[in-house]
Amino acid sequence: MSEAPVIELDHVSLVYRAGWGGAKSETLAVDDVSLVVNEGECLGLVGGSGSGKSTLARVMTGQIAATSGAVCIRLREDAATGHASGRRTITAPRPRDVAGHVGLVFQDPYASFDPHWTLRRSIEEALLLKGSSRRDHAGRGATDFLEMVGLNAAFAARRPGALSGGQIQRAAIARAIAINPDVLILDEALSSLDVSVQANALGLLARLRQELSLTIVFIGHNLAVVGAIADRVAVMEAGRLVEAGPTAQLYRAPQSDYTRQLIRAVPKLRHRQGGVAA
Amino acid sequence: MTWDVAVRCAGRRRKLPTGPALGLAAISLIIAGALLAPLLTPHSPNLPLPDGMTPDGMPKPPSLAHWFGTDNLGRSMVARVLYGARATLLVGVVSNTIAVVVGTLVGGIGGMLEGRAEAAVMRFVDLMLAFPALILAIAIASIIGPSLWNAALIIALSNWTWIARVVYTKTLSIRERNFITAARLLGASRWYLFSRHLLMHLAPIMLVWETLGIATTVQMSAALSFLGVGVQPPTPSWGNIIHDNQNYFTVAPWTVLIPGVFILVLSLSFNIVGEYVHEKMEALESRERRPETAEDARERFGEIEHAG
Repeated sequence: MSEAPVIELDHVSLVYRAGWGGAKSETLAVDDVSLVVNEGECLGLVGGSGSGKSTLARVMTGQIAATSGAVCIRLREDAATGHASGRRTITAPRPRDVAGHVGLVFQDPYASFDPHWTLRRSIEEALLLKGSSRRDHAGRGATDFLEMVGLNAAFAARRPGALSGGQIQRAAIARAIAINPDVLILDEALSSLDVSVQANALGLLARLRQELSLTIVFIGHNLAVVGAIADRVAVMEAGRLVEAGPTAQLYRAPQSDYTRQLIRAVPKLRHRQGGVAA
Repeated sequence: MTWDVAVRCAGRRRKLPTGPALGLAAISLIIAGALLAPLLTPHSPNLPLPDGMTPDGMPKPPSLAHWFGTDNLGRSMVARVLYGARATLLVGVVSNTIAVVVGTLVGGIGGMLEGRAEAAVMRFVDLMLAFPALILAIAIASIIGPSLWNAALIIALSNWTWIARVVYTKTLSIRERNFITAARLLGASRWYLFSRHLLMHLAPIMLVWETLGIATTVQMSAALSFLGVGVQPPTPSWGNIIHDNQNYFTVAPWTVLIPGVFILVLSLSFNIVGEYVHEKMEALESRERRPETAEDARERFGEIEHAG
């Protein structure tokens, strides 16, 4: 893992404004967050519902502009641009700036695929929009990426509605890695899966991360799941970053009450006579 | 709704409910009557019959010789109504198709735009909506002149706004869906999103309006012809048959009632069929996200075993 930062957030805040006139309301979704995602690392972003994790991911990908603070993203140069230097720096990114450089896997994988399209068409769309071919620079096509995530070629002809939750989430990961992203953001991607499929998907992500040297931002609310893959974990509460540090250290010696609370909330199995209790 | 689902559903032999079945039958009969008019009646719609008037110069009532009677000029009402269906259907279908295409383009593009551009497009639509359709149609007709094709164009120009509003609302809900966000993050342009993703999702709405909207355009076509700014004589249309015979309503009511009933039946039929198509499309759309089946569960179980 290199120490070169890919995403840098410096005192970023985001206020959602709604209504007008007397009915105007403001919600502070992200409050003065400073965070760095380094190349090749997996950063876990943990917090309860409404803590601002997904909003922060949308700020990172330029889907929403920060109200204040600086957002900086360093992206690999494409061969097509002709730039000799390795990375270009973008401040205050917009979606078109990061297009094709950020892979996003959503919580609801069914909604992330056009229900009318087959998986082959969806993955080929990613490849076509990123470059101009249905195959990537290494000659891999839709079926190759599906096989990388453990789905055989027959799945390429299926539509999202014909897949189970675990299968469609694997397909979403296949589409996200097909563009060889600078950063892969998994926004509560495993939250809707049952624990066995979650474990399977975590194993898959760990393998892909090693094989493709991926930089990952892994967003979740379950500290145990996030901790299983993240090198560092950042904990968010009500839009604020309450704690960040290496995973093992954060688990061993949490600094904030909220982190301790999250750690205590992780279900532990203990055997008792006649069954298992959480 | 995917086309393969639609085809599968169409392939299933399900009995059509009575209402839509009757509506479809009525539409089919009227279309067949319009197309086969020269075979169904030996009379010209424009030439008076030798025995078309009573000795005192009045239209003849319905009889075995003339099923629908004759009109104010002694012409066969059967021929007038059958040939009149051609112009009425043509104006209704063509104007509705133009309205659906224009409404979908404006509403869809308005929904894909953001900020001031979106507001500008939709305020224009609101402005057009504020005009009463018939008044607007009469105003346009007075500028470009009355004719069959102008009538179609005029009706389309005053009807696309409703479709644009509905399509815009639908587009707003689709554009927030994750597969659009995913394509945006891959660098898809607005036009790409509209043409590749959105249009397929708007197809059910377009199909519903293509059937439901004809009811309105047929009525409007008849209204314009009745007011003298639609299809022009001698070309018969149901609207101008009523217009030509309005002075005889009290003495020869069939000359007005028969085309009136045909307008009513055709509009009602398109309405009933359109409502049925609407219901079916909604059911198909909700089936896109079907619950997990036993086969899914088995596959998932396979994954768990594999993981273990």
